[in-house]
Amino acid sequence: MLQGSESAFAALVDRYKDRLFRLLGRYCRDAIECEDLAQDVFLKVFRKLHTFNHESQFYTWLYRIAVNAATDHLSRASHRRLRLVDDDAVLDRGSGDDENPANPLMTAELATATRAIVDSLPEKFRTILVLREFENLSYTEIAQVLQIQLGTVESRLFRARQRFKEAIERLHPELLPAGFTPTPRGGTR
Amino acid sequence: MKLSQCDLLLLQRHLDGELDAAATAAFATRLAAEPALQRAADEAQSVRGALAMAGAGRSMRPPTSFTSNLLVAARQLPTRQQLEQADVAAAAIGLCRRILLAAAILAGVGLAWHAGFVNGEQPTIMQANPADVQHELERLDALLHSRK
Repeated sequence: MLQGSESAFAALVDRYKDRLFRLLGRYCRDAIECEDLAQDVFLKVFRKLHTFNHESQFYTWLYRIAVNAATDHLSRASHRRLRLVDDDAVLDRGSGDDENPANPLMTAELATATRAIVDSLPEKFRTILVLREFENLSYTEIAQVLQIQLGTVESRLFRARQRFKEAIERLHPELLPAGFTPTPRGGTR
Repeated sequence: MKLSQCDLLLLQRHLDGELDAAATAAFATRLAAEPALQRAADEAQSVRGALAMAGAGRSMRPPTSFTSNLLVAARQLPTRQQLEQADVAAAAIGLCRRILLAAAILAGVGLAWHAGFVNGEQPTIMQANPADVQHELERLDALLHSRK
């Protein structure tokens, strides 16, 4: 593979492309954007394959490149269109009926609403939630992908979930069970 | 009872399956005995449920032509050998730049030293003007005589 043969590279792409698309799909709005980004990531992998040192799993190395590419993409995109990274700007794009907790949202709307909250979290919280909740990476794998300490993984994950919980409480309290303990305001900054 | 941050992190580890078997069993015992901890666990599960909704139905899939398109793009890249040579060349250029910068700094310091900016001709007591020394001695003599 490290010799760079085309068939070996094609095999590598075939093995990891589904996983990569699933990850990048968390950062992209549409399939074309996702495909462009995935192509960029694989071309970077192709260029940098000789620097892979086998100290970690290949997919954690791939994820590292992908997460960096995705966050770069997001920061570029934020200049072009509304893509805020502060959770105070959570997309509250409900119809007005959403303001009534007694009126439950449909499942698809719930998915859209919760996704909007995740998308609006600061990048580092969003990424750690994506890696843990959607990609099911262990703490160790997340630490390798993000090149941070295990303790940082734990604390960042804790804060990310707290931020998500605060936003849910504020915007969609109907998603939480009755008697839910509200998060103290400003407690997770 | 308010849970400590330590307990909440332990709970998180437990729910994420990051505790070993012994720690998991010990924590399960605590959960059964401490209602506040169990309530926190239930809440955490609710948050996870809401997060799972965010992850649902958003999976993008590569088009069938993805690999072939990618290979077309990869063929337009320099070969691996060229890429490695480019890396070596870039490293060599970087090294040369650093050497040139160091040489320029050394040359600058040398020039400054030569021009006397670095080791400036600051007057010391040994290098005082003889007239000033003489004047000071006379002043001290005068002072001595006046005390007598």
